[in-house]
Amino acid sequence: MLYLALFRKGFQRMMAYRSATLAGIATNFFFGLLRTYLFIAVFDASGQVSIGGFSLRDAITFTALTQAFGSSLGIINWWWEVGKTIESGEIITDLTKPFHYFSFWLSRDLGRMVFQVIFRGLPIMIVYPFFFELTWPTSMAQWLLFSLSLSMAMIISFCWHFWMNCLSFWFVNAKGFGRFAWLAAAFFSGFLIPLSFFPDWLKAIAMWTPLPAIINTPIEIYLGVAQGAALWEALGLQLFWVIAFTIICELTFRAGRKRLVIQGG
Amino acid sequence: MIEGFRLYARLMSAQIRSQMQYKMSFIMEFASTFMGMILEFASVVVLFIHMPALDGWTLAEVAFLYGSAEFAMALSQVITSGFDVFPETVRLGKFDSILIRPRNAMFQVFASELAIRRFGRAAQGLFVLGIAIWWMDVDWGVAEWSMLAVMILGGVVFFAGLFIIGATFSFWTVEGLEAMNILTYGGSTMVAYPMSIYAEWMRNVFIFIIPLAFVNYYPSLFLLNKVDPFGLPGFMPFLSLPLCSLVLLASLVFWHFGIKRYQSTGH
Repeated sequence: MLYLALFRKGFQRMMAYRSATLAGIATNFFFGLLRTYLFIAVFDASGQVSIGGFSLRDAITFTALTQAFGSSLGIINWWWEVGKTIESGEIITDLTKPFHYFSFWLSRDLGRMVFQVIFRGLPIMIVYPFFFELTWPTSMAQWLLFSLSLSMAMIISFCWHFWMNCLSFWFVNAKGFGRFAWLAAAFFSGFLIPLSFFPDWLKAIAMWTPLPAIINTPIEIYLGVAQGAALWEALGLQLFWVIAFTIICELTFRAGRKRLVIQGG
Repeated sequence: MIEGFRLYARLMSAQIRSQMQYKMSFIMEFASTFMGMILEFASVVVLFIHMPALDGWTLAEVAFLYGSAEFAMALSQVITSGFDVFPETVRLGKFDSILIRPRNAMFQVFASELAIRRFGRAAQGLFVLGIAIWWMDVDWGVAEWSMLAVMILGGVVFFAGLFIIGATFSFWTVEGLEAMNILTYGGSTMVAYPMSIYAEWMRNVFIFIIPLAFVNYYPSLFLLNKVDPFGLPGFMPFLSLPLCSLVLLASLVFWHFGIKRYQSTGH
């Protein structure tokens, strides 16, 4: 099947960048160390054993998870593949090909994400316990729910990138928006610090966006911070965003395609 | 020497003029980076909701560290943008044409690019640094203000050395050294917080082997009247610029070593 083949190609393409992957792991891990010691100092200074439902060990695990999966989920690295082809006009050759445009890029990018979960994420989760004690899911069900949540997070992350890229149909300088969207995602997704550390009003703002569904939700499920009704609510909200954001992307893309004017040829 | 400066100024003004042809693009990149990076600092502010001070450093004092680290690193990145595109130059075989021109090769690389779009991050650093100084309501004399200027200069020089070392690797690997990100981006993040929060081995590496702590931490101890928690001699803050200059010097030596071994990729 075409999209499965695209997924595989996206995965294989990443294998060409072996030294980049190694350098990436080292950099992600070093940042993990810095962030861990910052949280140790924060808990020390706060005089509390738990902040927003996070123990110190949870907070350290939070840094491990974000550093491990941040590049896969597109928070550490930005993606401007579609925007580039819109700007250059090359998109026209893709549009004449017989595939569904959104699914084409989604399959390719999922290939990259899965590669990075395995070859950038897992090494970090394996190295971390040699330095710090981590929190682990306590049951098979929790592992499964985390995997489910992580998978939905990947799709929402892709939608976020794709949607921002589509702005290039309307604005010549969409790349600037894109850069801001990327940096804003680090903050509002709960990547830099957990959303439970936010004051209520700020968390409320974040929760109106799809961004927490990319980072905060899978992590709270992994740590067991989200439990019972809150857990199902978080998963339901993620599912909502998967569906709604896919539709939004498709509609935005269709509207953008109508505006497309290609010079020459 | 003076002619070199004049040539550099001319090339840079040409760079700025050509990039300013896309004024809106520059404004967008500048504004988005500035605002986006401010959000990163906002996360530090949020952490201070949960504690009065970080290892004895108030929010304003941490902002001072954060702003000076960001400003020095980002400014250095703008100044050394020529070295940022250098691996590309080598890969495409364009370095050959640099070598046959009657000017120092390093000078040409240095003067080949000025990525003004990167000013957004430097502006963010300067903004946070400015707020920190205003907020601390400092009572500084000439000595302190000079110390601040020397500290920033030291930081710029330190990171410039690292960027040049990273680019020089492309004489061998054709790609530059990506792991250098650990010391550049990682380094500026590390010294955005007091060194005392880190594990002892990390501190020792970045005080005694790589003089990262001299970029802003030691001068800040002096400027903010803090006692050195590691009990090192009182002249440490004044070693800032000399030690940072050593890093730049090392990068120049490394560059000359690399250029002698340069083999063209062909054209």
